[in-house]
Amino acid sequence: MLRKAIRDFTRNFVRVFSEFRGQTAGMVGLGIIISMVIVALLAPTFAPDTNSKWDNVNRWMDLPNGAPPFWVNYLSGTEKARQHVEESADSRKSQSVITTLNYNYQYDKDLPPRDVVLYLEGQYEGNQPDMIASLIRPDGKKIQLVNQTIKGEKTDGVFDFRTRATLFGGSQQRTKVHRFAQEFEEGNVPSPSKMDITKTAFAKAQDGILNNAEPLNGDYRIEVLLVGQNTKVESTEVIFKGRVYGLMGTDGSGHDIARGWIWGARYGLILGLSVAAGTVIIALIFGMTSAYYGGWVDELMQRLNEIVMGIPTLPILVIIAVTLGQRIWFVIGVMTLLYWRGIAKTIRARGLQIRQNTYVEAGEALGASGSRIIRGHMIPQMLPYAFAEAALMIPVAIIAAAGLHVLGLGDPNIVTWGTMLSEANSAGATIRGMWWWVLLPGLGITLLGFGFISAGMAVERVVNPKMKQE
Amino acid sequence: MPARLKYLIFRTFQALVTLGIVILIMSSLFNGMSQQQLQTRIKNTVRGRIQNSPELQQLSSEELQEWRANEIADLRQRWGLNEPVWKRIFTNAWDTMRLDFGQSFMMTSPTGSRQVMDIIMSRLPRTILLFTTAAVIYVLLGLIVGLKAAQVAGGKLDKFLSIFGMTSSSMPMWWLGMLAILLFAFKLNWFPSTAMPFPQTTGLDYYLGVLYRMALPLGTIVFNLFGARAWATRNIVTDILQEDYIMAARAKGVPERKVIYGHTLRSAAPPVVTSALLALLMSIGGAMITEVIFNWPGIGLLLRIAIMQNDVPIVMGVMFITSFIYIFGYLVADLLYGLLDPRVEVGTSGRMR
Repeated sequence: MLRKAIRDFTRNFVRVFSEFRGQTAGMVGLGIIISMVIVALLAPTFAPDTNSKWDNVNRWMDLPNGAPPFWVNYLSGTEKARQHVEESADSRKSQSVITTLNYNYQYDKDLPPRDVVLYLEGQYEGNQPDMIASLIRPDGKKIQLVNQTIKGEKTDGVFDFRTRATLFGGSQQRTKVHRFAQEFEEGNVPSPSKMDITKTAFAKAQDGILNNAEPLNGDYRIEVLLVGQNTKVESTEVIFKGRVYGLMGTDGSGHDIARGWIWGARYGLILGLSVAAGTVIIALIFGMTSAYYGGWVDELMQRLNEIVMGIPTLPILVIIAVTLGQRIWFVIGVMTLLYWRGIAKTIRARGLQIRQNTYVEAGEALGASGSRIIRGHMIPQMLPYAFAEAALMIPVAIIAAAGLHVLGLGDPNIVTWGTMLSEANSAGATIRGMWWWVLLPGLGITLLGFGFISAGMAVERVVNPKMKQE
Repeated sequence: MPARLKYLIFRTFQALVTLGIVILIMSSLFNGMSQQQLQTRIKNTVRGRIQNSPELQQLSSEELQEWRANEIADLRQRWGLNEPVWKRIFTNAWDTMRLDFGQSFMMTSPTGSRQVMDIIMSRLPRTILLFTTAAVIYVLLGLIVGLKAAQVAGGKLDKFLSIFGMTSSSMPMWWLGMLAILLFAFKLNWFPSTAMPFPQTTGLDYYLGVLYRMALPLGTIVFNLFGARAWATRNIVTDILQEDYIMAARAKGVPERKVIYGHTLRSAAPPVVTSALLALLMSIGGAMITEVIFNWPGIGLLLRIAIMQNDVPIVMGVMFITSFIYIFGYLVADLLYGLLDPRVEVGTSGRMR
């Protein structure tokens, strides 16, 4: 019995698919869906520590805020520095108390990095060592940026330290760079707070360094001196924060949009496919039962379907989110319990047609039970219709769920395209011109929606002979 | 009784049942939450009274305990917390049906009223203004473009429309709004990025000012919806163009203009009008969120503010009004279908999804 149902279904599926392959738009849609599924499945590999640490500031502090994607370099005339991590430092111990670390950076762009972050990890014994970090420019000029004491935690008589310093982040550094530049500037001198600090630090030491800086390209060096007895550096890293970042840029708080996007694809698919699966099951059971039994059962079920048809989705979603909490599973649940209605109508109408077929009558005459006929004969034939309709519904579900985020009712524990768009809206990304933050997550919604719509319409054209004529 | 009247009564009854179910769902959910809120409110009220009254502070701890217990019992009685749950739900549902949503926690209407209904009513006209203007434009535009595409099925416009309709309906309306702000407000600086504040002038100046602020949200809604509308019109019309009587009219030599605008449009009207109305209802949610993006001071923005401030009575009120509009809009679409098409005795529910 079950084997026959599977065989019926497979045969039907093969037939539908062989015709489906002829539909270009449908194949494009299918391609989009499959790529998205692959991206979504690999989300934990491609983008680890993203979904769970979206609200963790430390996770994102080494990324620039509001940096456009790297490919804007190819669109505009000015080339901006990309994110760069330098892990190797040539380290040398001069005298017994001073350790010198040198990090090289080749600057060949029009705009320098936003900031430079220095990580040092190691051990010391006895007194706290001092750290002095400076920028040594290609013209030999040296700007001392950081001068601080390193504090560690004592374990087994030695102190372990892990220190992070932003070389251009604080007001002290601002003053230092400003002082350096002041002597070259012949025009009016703007206040330190108005200066683009790295642009000045990486500019030619000449008139205009503060007002209209010209980039000084060449080999730069970050020099770090550690002054202290028995100080040992175990690992070190220097991060040059980009003016552009990654494939999709970063948002206003430094989140990598590409990583969030991947999780957006994952949750978009989880939502869409769960709702589709749930509604197809309900609609098949409902529509088939209604069509098979007919009479007053059909009448009653149709009236019930019409009542459900009249229930608006958004108010129910909003009220559940406000009263019970904001969970993606509530959204999936509500949508599943409401969206089957349209599919059930189609299923019933087609079911009535199938019922007329002689083999159903034959089955009845041979004494097959109602549920057996429904399962064995009718459901395998109906599945393509149901899938087509469900595919057309998925974009509606994804758009509605994203809209909930904009209303302030999104699930706070997950990162979706809606999360990113609602953050963009609250942070005023539109009026700050941060187009990548708005455009790319929305394109995700559109792309996935387009994929499902074109695949669904293609299946509909295949299974519905009336539409094929057109 | 004529079949049509019977159908009207039946469908109205059905719509009322739907409304009743929605209200019951809302009231049951609301009840659980308001119960908690009332309990905290009682606790705070009693604590406040003790803190503000020197006489109560003089009492011994046992007397104070007793006073407190009495006071809590009294407040519970007054605020209906002692009633059984089902009764509280029904009371709440009854209040909702009488459009009594109680008072807002923090907001007031321009006239200073804290009644949720007054606050909603002060905002509703602006939503209706934006929404109906957009609807008129995109339905007409959809009709014109759809007819043009149907006349040359498989032509350039037809092909473009099928892709445009598909693409635009997979875009969230409010996202298009954000893109519109980026392009027309940030980049080109043609229109304001926010609808507020509303102009303070009167007369023609006022209307022009409103129109200037409305341009972007209006354009967004129209752009998002007219493609799918035109595509639907095109499909309905191409179906009709294949009917025998159209063929006959053409064969008879009736001018093409007359075939399209006379014969075809007459038969296309019922499905076109109803499907437009249904599409309109489907887009209410998106339009409300679009208000948030443009800061358009309608009920969508009100909903967003109420959610931010956790002002539950307002959320309930706005969502009830939305449900009400939706359910009765659906009813009207259904009845209109039967009314426009003399061949149909039952409404759309039998044939529309």
